[in-house]
Amino acid sequence: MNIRRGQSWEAYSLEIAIALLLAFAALSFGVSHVSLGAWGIPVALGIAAFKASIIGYEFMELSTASNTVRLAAIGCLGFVFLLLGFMSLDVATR
Amino acid sequence: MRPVIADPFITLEQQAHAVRVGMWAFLASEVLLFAGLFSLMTGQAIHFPHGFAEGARHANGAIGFSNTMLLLCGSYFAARAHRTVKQGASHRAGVLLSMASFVALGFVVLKAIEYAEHIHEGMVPGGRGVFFTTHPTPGLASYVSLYWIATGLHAVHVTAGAIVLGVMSFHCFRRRISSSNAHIVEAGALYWHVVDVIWVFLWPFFYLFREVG
Repeated sequence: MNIRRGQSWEAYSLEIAIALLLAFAALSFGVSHVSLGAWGIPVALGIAAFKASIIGYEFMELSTASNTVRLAAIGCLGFVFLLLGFMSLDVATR
Repeated sequence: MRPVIADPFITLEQQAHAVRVGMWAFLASEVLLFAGLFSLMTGQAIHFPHGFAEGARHANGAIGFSNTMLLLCGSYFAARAHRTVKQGASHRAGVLLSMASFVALGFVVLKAIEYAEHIHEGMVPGGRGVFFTTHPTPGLASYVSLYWIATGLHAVHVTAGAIVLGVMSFHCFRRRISSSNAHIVEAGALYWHVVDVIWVFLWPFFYLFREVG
């Protein structure tokens, strides 16, 4: 019985993912019309990061990918954070 | 149709793995290309927050939101097509890939409408003209230039994605792609997902940050 439940969950994982993605896109759009002050940018970027991780985990199948593929993905993200991190540090300390 | 095993591979699984890893290496280079632009955009936005907020208020929010929904749906169709072709349902995968391709074309059409609005308004790169004299906010010209470069480069990628998805759809309908060579659809779908992820971050940057915190 538990195996069947697990199988049905897996069969609809893409549908659950797209429902979450569309809901969070609508949330981003809604939040942009509400005055959040200094929190506006972190909230929008946080939602974007969450959506990107759903796409990576479910649609790009990183959850079941080989170690080589995971290394490529992590290496790429590492370089992105390095670039953005040092750039932000440079601007902030001028 | 039997899939061809190219040199120097011995098995189809080995070839599929090489395609997968090669695609990820290519996608990493694509992400780093856009990361350079994001880095520039972040630096300029920190320097000129009012100019960037003013620019975002001039972007067409309804088109930005619609395009986000279209790309997310396209990603779903591509991911579902990959799972479907793995199960051997080539024709159904072809239908799903066609839907993803049409969604991509819808994005390009909406983006073209938005670009036409900007050109009509005078919101074009260069920082000259009536638009910039009536909106003298510092940094607005920088926002406009970066907006055109980043969204333009992304639109080129979306157009390429629409073609790739369309071609894969054709091959699925002809049953040249089936469960044994489903990695071809996987590679195309991966490209489409990265195009989607890039837009997921471009959208808030150019459309949603309409006020300075």
